[in-house]
Amino acid sequence: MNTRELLEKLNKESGLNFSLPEEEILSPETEEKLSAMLSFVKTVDNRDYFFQQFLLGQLSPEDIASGRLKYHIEKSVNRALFLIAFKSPYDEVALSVLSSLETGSDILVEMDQHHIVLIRQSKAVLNEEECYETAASIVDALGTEAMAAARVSYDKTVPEFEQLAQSYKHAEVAMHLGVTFKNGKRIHSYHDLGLEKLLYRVSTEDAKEYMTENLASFDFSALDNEMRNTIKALFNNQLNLVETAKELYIHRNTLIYRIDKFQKITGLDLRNFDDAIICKVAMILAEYLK
Amino acid sequence: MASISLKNICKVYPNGFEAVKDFNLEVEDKEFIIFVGPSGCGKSTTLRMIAGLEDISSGELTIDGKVMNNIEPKDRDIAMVFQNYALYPHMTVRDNMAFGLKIRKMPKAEIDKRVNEAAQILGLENLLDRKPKALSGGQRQRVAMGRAIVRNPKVFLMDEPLSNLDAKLRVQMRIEISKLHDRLGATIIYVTHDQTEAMTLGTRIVVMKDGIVQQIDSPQNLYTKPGNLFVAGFIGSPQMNFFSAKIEKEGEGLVAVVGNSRLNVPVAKAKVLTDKGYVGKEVTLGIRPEDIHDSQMFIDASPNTVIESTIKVYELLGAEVFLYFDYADTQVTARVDPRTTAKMGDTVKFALDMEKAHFFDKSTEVTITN
Repeated sequence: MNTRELLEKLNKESGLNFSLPEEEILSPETEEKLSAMLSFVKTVDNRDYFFQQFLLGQLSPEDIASGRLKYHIEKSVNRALFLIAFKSPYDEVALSVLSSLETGSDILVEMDQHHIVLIRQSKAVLNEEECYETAASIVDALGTEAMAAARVSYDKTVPEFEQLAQSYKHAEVAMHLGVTFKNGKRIHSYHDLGLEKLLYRVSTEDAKEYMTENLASFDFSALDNEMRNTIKALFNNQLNLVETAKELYIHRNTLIYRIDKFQKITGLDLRNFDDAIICKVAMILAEYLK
Repeated sequence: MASISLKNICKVYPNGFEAVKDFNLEVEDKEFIIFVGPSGCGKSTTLRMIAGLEDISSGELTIDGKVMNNIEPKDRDIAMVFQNYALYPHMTVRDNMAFGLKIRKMPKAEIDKRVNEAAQILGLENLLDRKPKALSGGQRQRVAMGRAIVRNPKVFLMDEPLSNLDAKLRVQMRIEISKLHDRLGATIIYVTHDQTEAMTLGTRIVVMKDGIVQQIDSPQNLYTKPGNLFVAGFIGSPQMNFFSAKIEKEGEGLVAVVGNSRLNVPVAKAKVLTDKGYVGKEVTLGIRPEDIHDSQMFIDASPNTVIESTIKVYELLGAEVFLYFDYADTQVTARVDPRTTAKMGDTVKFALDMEKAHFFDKSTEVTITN
């Protein structure tokens, strides 16, 4: 937005008629001041907008502090942030369900047509398991009562209000990576993304180079579900063959046959820790490159 | 209530992963269908496609003959009960049950009527004015069911509704759900990973693995006539024992060579193995723990199906004893009478009831003799 557009928006939002001499309109300082005024005007009587702008990182520390005082928001309370992403634009029913789920001190922030943030405030710190349960109950309540398909991502509990903006960023990253790497799941924790979080920062060129170096022309998307699930189960069970066979309800010999088959086509022996690591990283990078 | 038809249903995620492949099922009115399989097999995804919470990538879903693929979930006339049911903490049981109808602006008199009826069905009449925190786990679960019942839907979809309950309560609620099905005469599709739940509740069970339907059958048939190695291993606890065996001719009949034992194959099974060309070939032999006997009477009656091993673990469960031992590179479980004299460290003879044995193709894993 340029300075003239900012001025126009400020006049519209405030209902007042500000004007500036031409030479000031061109000054970068003016643009900064107008942005601050616009943000102030928008949040002055609009709690939802204040929260929205705060979570998006659009407010200065001063604006946050004044907004907090204005809306009687305690500074130091344990808060866990849940980002809810709807498949289709949410409706009033979904909002009613979320409002009714609250424990009395929850805050709902409508970010856009597809996203709502729920901030749960509590005396105690919600641990990872409790955060997961809350997220799961949000997904299930929206499914059963509002008949709405949604995913939920979350960060860990933070003790200070100002940290919520960072929590929101983390929840956004978790949602994005969850959709990319864990399609079938509907709940994504920022702290449960492991290697995916790290590898997502690798450049496409580096990822491609890694794949070529370690797997030549093998294409992971060519793997059938049975082989994918076998590899996943093997990783989940720390490469323990007996436990993996048990989880898959197959005989140990069948598992060995599948591991041998995978070794034949990729050269990677999944019983070997180093090869297993290469495979795990390559599987994540293959998803990422897609 | 309603009939449901799923024809060639597939679910492919944007990253190309095929969560469900070519799923076909005809659900009759008032059936209690169970989707069962290990985690990640596509059972919940299929249920969510029926609900409309997941898009169907290809194939056709109809309810009462009407194509539902592009119908909004709220317009499908279904009700769902999920694992993580959350009751509204500040509302009474009555309000919890009425909530879904209120937000859809149903007249109050109709809401009251439906809530009272559902409360009566579920035995919640005396609890209607209580808040969730004053309820037991089982009562809360019944309220969650009540929220679905008041909608009076054509179809109930349940996704692991008992998973968050403790073992004792799960058994109780299983019985209640079964009674509820009888009382409501409802069409129910129920997802579980627990084969005991599947076996006790379902009129028919759909066993899934890796997004593919393995077998659709009655609980009894799944147990006695598994269609492949996976179903044989998945259904039944303790699991069926599997041995690598070579089929050889001996005199007029056939034997299955397992380790250093030559086990007589019953005539009917021998005929099928011969007709299908398995003589001289390796197969997988499956036998359930209860079909391995240590009683002298059985051993005397069946001397050509005997194996011998040393007991590694002895587990007394009251009405039965599990004996664990190794044989031919396989960990074997036998379920025997508690009066057995076998103890840990004993070398014991067992007779296999080969009439109940199952034979599977080594490469396709499909049953040969069922």
